[in-house]
Amino acid sequence: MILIFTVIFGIVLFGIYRYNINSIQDIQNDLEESKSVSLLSQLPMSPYLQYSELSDEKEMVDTLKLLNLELENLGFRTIEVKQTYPKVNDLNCSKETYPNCDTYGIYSKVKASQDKKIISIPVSLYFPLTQETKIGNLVITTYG
Amino acid sequence: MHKKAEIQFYWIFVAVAGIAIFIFLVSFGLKFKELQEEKTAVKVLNQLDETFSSLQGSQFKTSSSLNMPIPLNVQCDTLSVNGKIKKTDNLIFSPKILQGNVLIGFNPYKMPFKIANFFYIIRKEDTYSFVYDRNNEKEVKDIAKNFKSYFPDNVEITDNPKNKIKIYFRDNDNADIIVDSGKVFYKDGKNIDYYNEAMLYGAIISKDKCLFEKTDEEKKKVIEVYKNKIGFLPLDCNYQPILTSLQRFENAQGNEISSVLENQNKALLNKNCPVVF
Repeated sequence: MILIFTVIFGIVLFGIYRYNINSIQDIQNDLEESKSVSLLSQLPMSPYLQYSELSDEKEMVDTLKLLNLELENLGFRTIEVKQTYPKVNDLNCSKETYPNCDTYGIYSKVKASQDKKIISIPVSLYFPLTQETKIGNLVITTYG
Repeated sequence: MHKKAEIQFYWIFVAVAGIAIFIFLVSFGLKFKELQEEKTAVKVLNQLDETFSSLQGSQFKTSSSLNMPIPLNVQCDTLSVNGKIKKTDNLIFSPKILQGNVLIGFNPYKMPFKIANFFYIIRKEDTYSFVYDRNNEKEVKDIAKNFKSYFPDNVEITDNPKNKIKIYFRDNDNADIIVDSGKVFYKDGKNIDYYNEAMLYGAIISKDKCLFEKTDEEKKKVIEVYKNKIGFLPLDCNYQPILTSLQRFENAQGNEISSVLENQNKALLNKNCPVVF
């Protein structure tokens, strides 16, 4: 009788323990996802990316600022700005390839994980040298 | 006799096992409660920090209000709830402990280009009087008007102060804060330098110098971005003067260097060169 009770009791406790561990993992994932969403809305307006003319901030990403930009301490995720229109060469952007390239990598800390979520937002890309505006996406990949 | 001993042993065993299970259950319950509280604290901290970050999506000055169900401790770049700590990149000027209804003002900080976003948080019960006299009425009204726009019900601009925190712009015995010659003086003898309105508001709400040091670090990072950008701008335009000023600005403060940078940037446009900021 006592043995059966102990076994049932143990199973229940283990279940509660597993539930807690899973819910902590879920909270962690939720927090990382909400941080990515927040970054998505915040980054285009940050002084690291935003184009300004005579101190007047425009709703455009300054592509020259992206060329040598390395953001820090943003957890396990990658952040890229991709030019989508007009189509250009499928190349990473650097001093040599700019502006005939489509991907500006601004942050990368990859985790070997199957679980990854990709979110993106359209942005206007400004090219100060030619004074052209093109269309792109700010893409954030979050690793679980 | 033997049977009686067996029954006694049985009851002792049941009692000991019962007590052990009871202690185990109670400690498990307590641990579970502790864990739930920690989870709540972590959730609250993160959601709060994300809320601040989301406000930064706006490039205009704005204000909002929030209800803090549990006390939030704000110390420079650290937020804590129930002993749980979270580092934040947001620059939050506020009293050290926030609970209940709080009011939030938000303003991009420019010097002369945008460097960071300042959050001003006050408790709903905190009220401020900006006090003028015959000689500085216009000046004080100009300085205080944006602060009043964030917290209209908590701020008065007056020559007859009634609010809790009194800010004078001349020496006065009734003052909680005196603003004079680019410095903010507090009752306890401490003081903080300020260079523009955004910094002044920050210094009025929080006397934590650490936030200004963080702002300075942020300024250096943004300057680095602009220095890098100059490296990709056309060689037939002369960016040397603005580059030198940016280098000077890294280790200097003040409105003077800010105006120099602004003029140098304008001069580039006049010469049909791409501006830096």
